[in-house]
Amino acid sequence: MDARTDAELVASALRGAQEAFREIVVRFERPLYSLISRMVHDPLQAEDLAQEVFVKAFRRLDTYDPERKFSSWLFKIAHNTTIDHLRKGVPETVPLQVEKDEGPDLSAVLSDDSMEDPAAAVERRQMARALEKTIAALRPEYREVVVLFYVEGASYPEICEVTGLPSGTVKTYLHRARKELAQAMSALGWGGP
Amino acid sequence: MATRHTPDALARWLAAEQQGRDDEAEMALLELFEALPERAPEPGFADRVMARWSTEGALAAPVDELAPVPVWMRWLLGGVLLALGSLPFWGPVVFAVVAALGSALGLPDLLQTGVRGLSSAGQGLTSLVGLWKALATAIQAVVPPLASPRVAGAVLACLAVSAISFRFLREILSRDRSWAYVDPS
Repeated sequence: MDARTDAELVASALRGAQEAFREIVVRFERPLYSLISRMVHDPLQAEDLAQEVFVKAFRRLDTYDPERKFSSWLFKIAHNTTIDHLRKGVPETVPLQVEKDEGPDLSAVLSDDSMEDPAAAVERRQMARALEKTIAALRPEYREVVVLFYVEGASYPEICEVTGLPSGTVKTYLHRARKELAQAMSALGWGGP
Repeated sequence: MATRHTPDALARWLAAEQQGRDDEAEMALLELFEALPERAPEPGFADRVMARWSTEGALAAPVDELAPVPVWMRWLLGGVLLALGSLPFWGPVVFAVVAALGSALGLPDLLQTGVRGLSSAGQGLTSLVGLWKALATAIQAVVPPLASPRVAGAVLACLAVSAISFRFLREILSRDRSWAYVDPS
């Protein structure tokens, strides 16, 4: 992994270094895709939008302020791009392939001694799937702050910067989202001892 | 539905939620999210972005269609177009003035006739276009008060304020990206 800081990478990219552009993509493709795919539900559209976010970012790289966090700047572009995309009312496409099972392959789990026991691993995967399902059912504004906070580890100020919401609203959204998630998980049968 | 044996973090989270222990609930949920499988694009994503950047990046750079035209030329062009568009309003007046000057200076009758003809043509054009005529009436009603510097200044100030407001409003509307206006479901 490239040891340069984000700001150094940006400076290098601004000087025209192609490898710096690529390193930026490699460094941020997962968090960006993670957020976008949870907002649009469609892997193909998520990939397309994630690409669009990087292209937009590269085009406007000269406007990035190195004093600010680069990931927040990128997430802000992702936030705007996703909303603009959904505002256009582009119908969601349903991928023809069967939904890919997230996480490690079951046979790998069963054969790997270093992992938890197979029954627990299977249960953990079922629980993860249920949690993803309940996240997907949240209102988009709740879902976005949940993903940013719990999945991407963004701080309150960063979420405010990305979403343009006041701090109090972000906290309220997170609190309500957590309650809704708990209710939904209980309703799915995950509440008992 | 039968309840299932829940992983520890989930049990702690739900218990904390039920008992209103927010901090504990948040910590347990954070722990739970760490167990979620990471979502990642298909392999080769960086290559696809770089390919798209190489083709779209330069093409999609903001292009100013009038970039090669100097600013003074744009103003001149705009002024000429504005003058031509408003010809029915100022044409007859100018032609009448020219005609009066022509007769005062003893210029040939031919020139006077020509100017009168042009004046008539302008008036005819004005009468033909109902919209322009209505506008002309409105402008004629508005012009006399505008002769006063105070009124003219006030009108210009109002126009400037409304133009700036419109620009800001437009910027705010296009900048405001709220999930309230989209339905991703």
